Amino acid sequence: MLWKDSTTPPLSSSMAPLLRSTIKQAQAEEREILSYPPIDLMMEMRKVKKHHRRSSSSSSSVISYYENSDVHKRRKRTATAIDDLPIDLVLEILHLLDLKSATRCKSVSKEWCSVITDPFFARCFVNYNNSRPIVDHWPFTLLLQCTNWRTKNGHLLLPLEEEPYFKSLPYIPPMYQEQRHNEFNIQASCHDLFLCSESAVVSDHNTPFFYYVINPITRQWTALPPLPHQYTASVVRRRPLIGFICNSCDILLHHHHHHQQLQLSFRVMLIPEFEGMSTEFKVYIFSSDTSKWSESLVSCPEGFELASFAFPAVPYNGLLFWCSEDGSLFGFDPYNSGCYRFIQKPLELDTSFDNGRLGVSHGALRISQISGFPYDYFSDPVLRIWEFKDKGEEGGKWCLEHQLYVNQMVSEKSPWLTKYVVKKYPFVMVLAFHPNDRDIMYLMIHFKVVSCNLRRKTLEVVRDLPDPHIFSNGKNVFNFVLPCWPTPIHSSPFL
Amino acid sequence: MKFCAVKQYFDDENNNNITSGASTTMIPLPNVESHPLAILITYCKKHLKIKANNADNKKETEKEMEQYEQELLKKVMPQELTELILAANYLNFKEALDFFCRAVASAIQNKSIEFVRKFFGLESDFELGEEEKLREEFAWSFEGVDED
Repeated sequence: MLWKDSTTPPLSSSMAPLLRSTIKQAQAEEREILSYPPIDLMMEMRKVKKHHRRSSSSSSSVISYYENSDVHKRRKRTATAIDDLPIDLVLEILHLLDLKSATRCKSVSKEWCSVITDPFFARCFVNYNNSRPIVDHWPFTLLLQCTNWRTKNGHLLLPLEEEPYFKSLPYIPPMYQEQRHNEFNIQASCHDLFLCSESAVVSDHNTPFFYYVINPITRQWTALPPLPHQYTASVVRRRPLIGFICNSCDILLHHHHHHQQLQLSFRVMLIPEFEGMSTEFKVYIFSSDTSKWSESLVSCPEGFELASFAFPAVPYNGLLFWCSEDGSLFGFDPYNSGCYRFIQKPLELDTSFDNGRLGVSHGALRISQISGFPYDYFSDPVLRIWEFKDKGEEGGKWCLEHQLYVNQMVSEKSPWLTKYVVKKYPFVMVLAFHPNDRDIMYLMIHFKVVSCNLRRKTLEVVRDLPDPHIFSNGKNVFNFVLPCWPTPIHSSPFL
Repeated sequence: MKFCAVKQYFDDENNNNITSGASTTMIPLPNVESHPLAILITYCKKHLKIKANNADNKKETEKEMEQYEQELLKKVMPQELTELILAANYLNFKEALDFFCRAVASAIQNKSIEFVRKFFGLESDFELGEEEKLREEFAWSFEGVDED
């Protein structure tokens, strides 16, 4: 306790001499400090006396209490001593840090580790970050999944950016590590989670028989239960269409109960292969809420024909969208297993939707296509991008946002690229959209990943592929977007 | 009333109708050292003054306050910040608490964990090998850290 200001109560004779002198000394020391609300010394002394009623002589006990008290010791300490901050104040500080620093602080002490790992901290962190002005650039990378034909089991993931977050990405959960004869592949991605499959290589076709959802940054994962018997019994010549959708930061915000565990909610949807065009077909949906697979019959009168290139579904507005053979879109709601939405293809879209890609950029649904390659030898390849202007209930329409001739694009840093695209048959493939930046599109040109600025019509090489032939399939490209706090998964292997 | 913890004393005073000019009630602040208290009081006075000067213009208030805060941070030693936080928390002085927490956060942002331990006066209580495991698991968070 401290006493300042001249209005201290008079030193009474009932006080022990030692105490009196200490008080006098203290007053002399602090006379120059600004006026403070004066401390009632007598009140404090009374409190102290009450505390030590047992001692024989009350005054001596008071002195001893005072001399031993923390306060007294503190006054004698040097100015650089630091009091231990209680953990709730530490929390106040830590939730203001960036993700990297906050994660690193787990290694400071055991207490800090448990506080930061607790879902309560994640909630504070996300709430604080969401209340700030929107930062449009969550760390993002494209991941290219390449199969190493030589070793067959080998599996390369190439992140585009060299950000340290992404270095830990080639992560395989422990389940797989034991069974090396199985093949492990990423099938789809949503925010910062992957849907992976484990399958035995049986002659020509791979029948995935286990699915996992993985967060490669936190290394948490969960295994999905095996598919219902009706599915595995039927012979599948090729992989089903797969869709994966989940909630990330939003789920953390909608929690009102402190005791409730943060629940990741996701859906996995499989459309088994069928021939030709169909207006009614079976789908299998896994719900993380029920932890079960369910089978539904979906009917869409417009007729859905499986495209010959089975890209994973694109999540948009809570629906999973697939392209039909002709480029029209079918969106299915895995949370509401009957509902779907049909979107006509853009008028100018080439019927051979081979070198095309569906994606979402800055919240808008987009289709890109390079026409003129590889089938049309007479016209120059053109990159076209359509954006869907969504009017919700009333439908919407496609709008041709960009139309670029590939041979007119220029590379500022790689002049060889400028020369290459002017050639007669440049090898150009569409890879993906940038999830936040509307102006950027990723292409594969001559076995290099190139980012294309659609407005300025420039190209920049982003990544070199170590071996040109290991990456042959455009569908093995996945978006990975890190939200402000990694999405939690609670491991619950069903096996 | 910014120092919410002492609000009760002032309320009591009003209820008892003490008419003398200066308050004579003594308020015990056992958990507050003199030095941080001085800083908090000047911060509080400055805050109220700026607010009064720019009664209508919220942006001006914020700007001036930020300038003052920058100046203040230059004079305060980093180690004193923890004391200030404790004091502001005890007094229930929200604005100061927020400000000093932000100051500490920017002081430890991107610094190594040894620096953070030294700053807060903490010791590592991990078992042998536990810390290594954490470092390996979150290797990505240890990259690009500022030198001590």
